[in-house]
Amino acid sequence: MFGIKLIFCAALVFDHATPYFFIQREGHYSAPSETVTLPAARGYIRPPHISQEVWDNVSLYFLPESHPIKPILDQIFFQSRATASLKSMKKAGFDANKPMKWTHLVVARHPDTPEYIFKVFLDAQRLFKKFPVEDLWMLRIEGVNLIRNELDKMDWNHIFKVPRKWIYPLPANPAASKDFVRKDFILVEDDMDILSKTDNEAVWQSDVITTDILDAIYHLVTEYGLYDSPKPNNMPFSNDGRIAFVDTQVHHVWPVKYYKLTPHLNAEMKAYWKEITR
Amino acid sequence: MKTTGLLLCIWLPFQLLGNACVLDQWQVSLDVAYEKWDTDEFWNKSGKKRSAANDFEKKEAKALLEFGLSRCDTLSVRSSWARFDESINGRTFGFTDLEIGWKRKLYQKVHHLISGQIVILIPFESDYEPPLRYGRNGAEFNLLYSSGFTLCDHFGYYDARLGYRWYKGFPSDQIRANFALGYFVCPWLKLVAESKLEYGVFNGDDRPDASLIYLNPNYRLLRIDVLAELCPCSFSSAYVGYFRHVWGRNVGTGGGFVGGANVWY
Repeated sequence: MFGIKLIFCAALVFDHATPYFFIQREGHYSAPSETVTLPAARGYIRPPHISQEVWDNVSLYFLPESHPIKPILDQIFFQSRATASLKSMKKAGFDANKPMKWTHLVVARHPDTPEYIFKVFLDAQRLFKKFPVEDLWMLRIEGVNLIRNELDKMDWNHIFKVPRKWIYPLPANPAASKDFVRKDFILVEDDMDILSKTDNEAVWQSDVITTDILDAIYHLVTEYGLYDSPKPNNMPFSNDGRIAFVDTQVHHVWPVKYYKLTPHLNAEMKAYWKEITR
Repeated sequence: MKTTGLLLCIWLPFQLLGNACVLDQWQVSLDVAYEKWDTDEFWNKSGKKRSAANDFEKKEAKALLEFGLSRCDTLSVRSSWARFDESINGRTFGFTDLEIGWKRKLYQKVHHLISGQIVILIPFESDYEPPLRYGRNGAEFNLLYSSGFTLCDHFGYYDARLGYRWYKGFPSDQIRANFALGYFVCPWLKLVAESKLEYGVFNGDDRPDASLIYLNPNYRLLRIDVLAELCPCSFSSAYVGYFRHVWGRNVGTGGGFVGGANVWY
């Protein structure tokens, strides 16, 4: 018979939080595949104001509980309502930009998670285009999965790359201000290490862009209706030389705006792009 | 004194007097104004002042065109184009909902004037575009009263409006009330102080896409304007002033500047 000894790892007690624990059996030591020491990882607990239906749909896209940055995010978001405003984001240690012009989302980085970026709608923001934020995040993840599958199928991973994306559910507490519109989920994704806007524009204008690359782009955006993708800031070059697809929210929408890429190409590639998109 | 006041009332163009006044038949009046307001705070539903965590700025160009259909009836069209810049919600701009009105003089005696007004609200587009427009049809009924007086041999007037605005759909109905006091410090310079109340009855639907600062479906606002109006000739005037939001619910605080001009013929 095995005895069971529960060991709590640096447990902080919050409402609805389940401390993460090791189950140690005498004679056998069982531990999760990725051992977490400090701070303690937490299982996802559905906040009472989120319906089971929504939770079940969104949980398919959650950051895995065993992911190495999960305990870091837990520590950040259980300590304060970091996503209340830009000020609270910065106070929580995020390097947060002002909201993007068209999508209104806030892109942020945190020094404790250098390989990841976060996309957030603040509680202080009104709901953008009436969509629940989780719907927007799920669309982005689905878009990126479509592209990833196609890249694998066409063996184009040496030309393009897509980030891994996950949803992180914010805890019920600390709660959002009742005056604001609470947002319950943020998007976590790999940092694609993209070039600056100026450098990116320069590469798109250069001989790096070939007819093969344009053929591949044409195939991807046409096949999956990546309506708004054909432009350098949605397909930026990264420091490893590959083109990253970073805006994958809009897909299966036609006709694609091919013309948006044209001004950013050199004369020869401009003519080719016009020819293939005619 | 009262006779002088009455004579002045007859002589002065209606535009310089209260809101109950109507145009003469075939007379046309155009008022254009520009208004700028910015804030980063709002009154919440309970009336507590809160930081919006949002730098909000509104710039609006307004126009009011009136036409005298008869000696007792005046038609009006009111429209505006506005631009909102918000640090966390981006930029919104475009035409606001249109207001078409009919004002009828109901009673006039000596220096008292009572008018009734119906305003039809026509959405520029049918989508709610916070904080620019509701995008919903509506109607407003107003009772207007104006009266003139003389003080220290200068003409003045006061007027009041009481009205009810109804919206189709999610925006709350509103009780609207204005009170204005105007005084000619000299024949070409008028000072005006006006209070404007927009009192939502809170029968609207709360929406997560609503603005906290302007045109929330359920809001209340008391605003005070002080203006100086130059009346250089008998067919035009120009004004400039300052306004302030002094009380509210689900609306931004702060104040701003307004300037405009009025021509009539």
